[in-house]
Amino acid sequence: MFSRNRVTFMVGLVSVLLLLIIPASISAQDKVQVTVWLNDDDLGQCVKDTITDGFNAFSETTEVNVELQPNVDDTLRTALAGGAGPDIIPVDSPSSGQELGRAGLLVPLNGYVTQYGWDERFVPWALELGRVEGELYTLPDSLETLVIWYNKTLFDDNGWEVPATLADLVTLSQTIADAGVVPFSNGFGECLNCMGSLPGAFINHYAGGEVMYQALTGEIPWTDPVFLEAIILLNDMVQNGWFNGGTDRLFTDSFNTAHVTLGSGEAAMYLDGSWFNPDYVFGEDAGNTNDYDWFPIPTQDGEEMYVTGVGAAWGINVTSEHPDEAAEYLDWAFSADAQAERFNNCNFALAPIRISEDAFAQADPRTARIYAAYGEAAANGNYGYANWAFFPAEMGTAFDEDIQEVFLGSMTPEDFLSHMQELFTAAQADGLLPPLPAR
Amino acid sequence: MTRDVLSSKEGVDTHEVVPFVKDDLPPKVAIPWSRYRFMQKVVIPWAFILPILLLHALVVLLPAIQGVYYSFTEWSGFGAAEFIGLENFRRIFFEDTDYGRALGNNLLWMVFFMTVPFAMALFAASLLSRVKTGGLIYRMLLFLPYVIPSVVVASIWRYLLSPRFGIGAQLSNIGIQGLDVAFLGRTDTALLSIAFADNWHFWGFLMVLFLTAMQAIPTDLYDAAKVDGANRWQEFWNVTLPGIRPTVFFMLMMVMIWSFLVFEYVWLLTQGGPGGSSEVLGVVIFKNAFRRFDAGYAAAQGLTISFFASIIVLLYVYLRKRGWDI
Amino acid sequence: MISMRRWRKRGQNTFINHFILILLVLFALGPIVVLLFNAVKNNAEIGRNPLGFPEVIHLENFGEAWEKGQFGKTVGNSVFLVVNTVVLELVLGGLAAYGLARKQPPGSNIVMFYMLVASTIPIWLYLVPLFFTWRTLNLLNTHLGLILIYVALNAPFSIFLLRSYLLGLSVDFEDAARVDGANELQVLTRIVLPLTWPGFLTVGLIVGLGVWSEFQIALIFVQEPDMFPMTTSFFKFSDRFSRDWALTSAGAVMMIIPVLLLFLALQRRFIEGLAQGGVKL
Repeated sequence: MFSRNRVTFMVGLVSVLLLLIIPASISAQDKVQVTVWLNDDDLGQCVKDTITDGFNAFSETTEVNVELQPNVDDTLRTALAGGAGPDIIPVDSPSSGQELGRAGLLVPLNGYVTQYGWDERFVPWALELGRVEGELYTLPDSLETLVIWYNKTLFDDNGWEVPATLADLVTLSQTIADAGVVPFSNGFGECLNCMGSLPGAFINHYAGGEVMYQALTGEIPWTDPVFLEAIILLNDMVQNGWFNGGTDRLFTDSFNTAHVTLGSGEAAMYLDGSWFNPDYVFGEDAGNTNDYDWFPIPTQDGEEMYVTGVGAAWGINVTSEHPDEAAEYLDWAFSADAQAERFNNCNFALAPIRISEDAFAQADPRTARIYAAYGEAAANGNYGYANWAFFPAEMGTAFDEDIQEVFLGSMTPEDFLSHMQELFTAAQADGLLPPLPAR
Repeated sequence: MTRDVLSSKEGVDTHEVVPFVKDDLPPKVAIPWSRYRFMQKVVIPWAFILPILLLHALVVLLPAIQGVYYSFTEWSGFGAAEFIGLENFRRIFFEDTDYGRALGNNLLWMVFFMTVPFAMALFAASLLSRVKTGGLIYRMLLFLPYVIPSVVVASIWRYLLSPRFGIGAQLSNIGIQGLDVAFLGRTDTALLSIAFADNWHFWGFLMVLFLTAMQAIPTDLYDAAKVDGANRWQEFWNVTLPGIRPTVFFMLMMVMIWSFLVFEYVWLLTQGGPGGSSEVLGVVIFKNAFRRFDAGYAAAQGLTISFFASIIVLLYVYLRKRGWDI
Repeated sequence: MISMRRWRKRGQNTFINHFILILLVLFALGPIVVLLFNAVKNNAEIGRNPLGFPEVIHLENFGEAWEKGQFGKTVGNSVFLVVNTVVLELVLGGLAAYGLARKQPPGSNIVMFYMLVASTIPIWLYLVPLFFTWRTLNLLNTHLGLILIYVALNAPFSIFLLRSYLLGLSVDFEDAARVDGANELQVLTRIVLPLTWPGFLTVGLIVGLGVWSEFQIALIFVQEPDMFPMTTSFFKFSDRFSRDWALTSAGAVMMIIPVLLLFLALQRRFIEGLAQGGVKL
């Protein structure tokens, strides 16, 4: 009955049929694939899942393949220079984006802006950052600002109040120091060049957004007295030992230690970005019963203001074979829903798009408050310019490095600012200034 | 007494004359002596050398020649490069103060690494070559730091050198004051502290190299020295050191070359700070290429590194030609 | 009298020898003990007590690091890279070293000079052109491509080191073998190798370790996550601004152990080789 020959025949028939059916069924689901690279870390892993599930369910014609790369910035650089790289490119700063755009490595996006209405969706000043000579090359992501995180329990116990003006901050720091507590726990041992956020914060909040705008467009020089006063103020605070006791610890403590001393109450405040999540050093697991909160960095007159910056940007690789599909992905990624999902799942900072308050429903109220307050202030024109986003590359690098010398006493604040002015004028002459929208 | 060398598996007992015995040897064909010598002296050795040489040329030489082109251009690292002739080099040698400071740091680094790890390695290797019990354990433990990845080594030493937590702080807890200095946070101590950490990682590697070389020194020479009444130091100076001289000199030269290429530990620990005081050429080049988008200039600086290191190579080659057995 | 003096001297020497060696060992091990401690702490504790004995022991760090770092995949990749690089390096490099040490054919000085000068060139200078080349040859995202690069980059050092060990060997044995009709390859494999294998072992160890801890080149030339070597796992433990030191330390400890074991295994053979005595002339 089941003769050898017959069995062989049946097997052969079935195989042929399968071979015919399977490819057909596959091609019926064949979508165009676009690749994205993300940094391979906690955040990246979380975002990968959110994106892959979200977009692939959303689009009928395209699917996304997220590849996690360790140290993505360096890897990407070489790949791009070598003519390779993913379809959708993560750019680590607006200046990088501008360089890439200038070098012709990114697909011009003006057409897509019209197609998808991105100029309506994005907050205007942010979109400008991605332009080179009028053509848009990158879309901004990850809104960032600087605030002062503080140990709320410590403040309450000691009756300290959140300062309203910079003068109040100075008095507060003195009070804190007199009580034997370290005013600011900042430690830059792991990244000395991250120290630029301190002078960046101070010049912004001392001079105000309008004056910063004038300096960044070349109307007033960086050596203007208002900036000098700001740097001197900061330097005085550092020399007083209010920043982690002085340059010794300010320059050597790790981020971990800075966070831990804030949590334990050894220090009272910590000047850092909105990306910081203090949860792991507060509470039972960390061995204390303290809680945290934040307040905006005060200005001279007490009006609430926030430095703004973007931490990332996205562009389309000019060697991509599917730029339209890549644009489709980007449009989805910057939709309010996708953004809210990413934010709620992974705590990835929101892009500078117009977004409703529902997006923050699931978030920690403190984080939600940052975005709310920041959005409102920005809408009222009370915003400043983050040095890592708005300074031309060479000036930004020097800003980070030279301030170390100021703190150590080997460079005067005057020389510091005149060096900045030098580099700014050089960048201006070379046409390398990041574009700023009018206020 | 003869022994069939081909089939023996242990080491050769070297006191005996060992003729080569093989079955089925094909009859020797008479070939011209000069051709034989040509084969022996030129063809065969070159056949041995070529494979890796060609691979190396493909990976290093050809790309480097292209890289050299960029050093004569203004280039952001992406896209087109604009030819500007010797402008980059003029800037390096006449304008760039960072470059000069970094070069000075490299030289300081070189002096440190030509002395400290060498002294430690020679000392430990000579001790180890005498110790019978526990030699294996010692060797393994002393080599262990070299096995640890640089990221981890840097993080440990950042804590060990911290004024708050580090060795200095612990010492002042037990009464020894003055050592809880911010080693990595002060301009005058940063570079040497980094060198110290890198040395911790590196010297075991040298020690193993020297130890291996020491094994090859015939024990007869030591016996002879003992008979002549030499003490330990004299033995070391007159037997050990000359015996491993080629290895020592070679490593001295490699260390000198590597001193110009230092990057990793400086970048991991201070990124060249504070205030640029620990910047070395490798860090300067990295910043120019990848932070300031000045890749053409960085390429030019890279070329100068190669130039300086090549001078050292030339010195080495010259000395060899002069008959120094290195 | 003389024998007593010698005995006393030897006794003192041994004590001082060991004393100094132990000091050196403490210097070498101290930081590693700190690493061990940190591998079982949580991050909050590392922030306030980075050097001391752990207050609470978190053994789960190892499991977490293994999973998060995907060590299962990456370790296999690293082993593959190391073994192949070492073998290829020792074979090709050994051949070249032998040719240079013994034969010194015309042009060998130029070769050595070239290799030395080549090792002075910083890799940034030719990284991008090499990337282009590899892309054209379709060697990107392949382990083979990475192995070839490692072999080439380690070549100058390996060849020179092997050569220096070979130079220390007496020519007599090889000549004797040649007189009896062995060809060059046989001389190399049957006479030279058995006598110089500690040198080969050392070079292999050094090259192997270099590849084991390498990450910059791997990251640039391989972008397929499945092919990443183990060093890239460390990057998974850090984000934009800070690093999870607990996991990093745990990962580092896991990374050291196989090397330690390998070292132990090889060292025994090393010692055997030593016990046979150095080369006697």
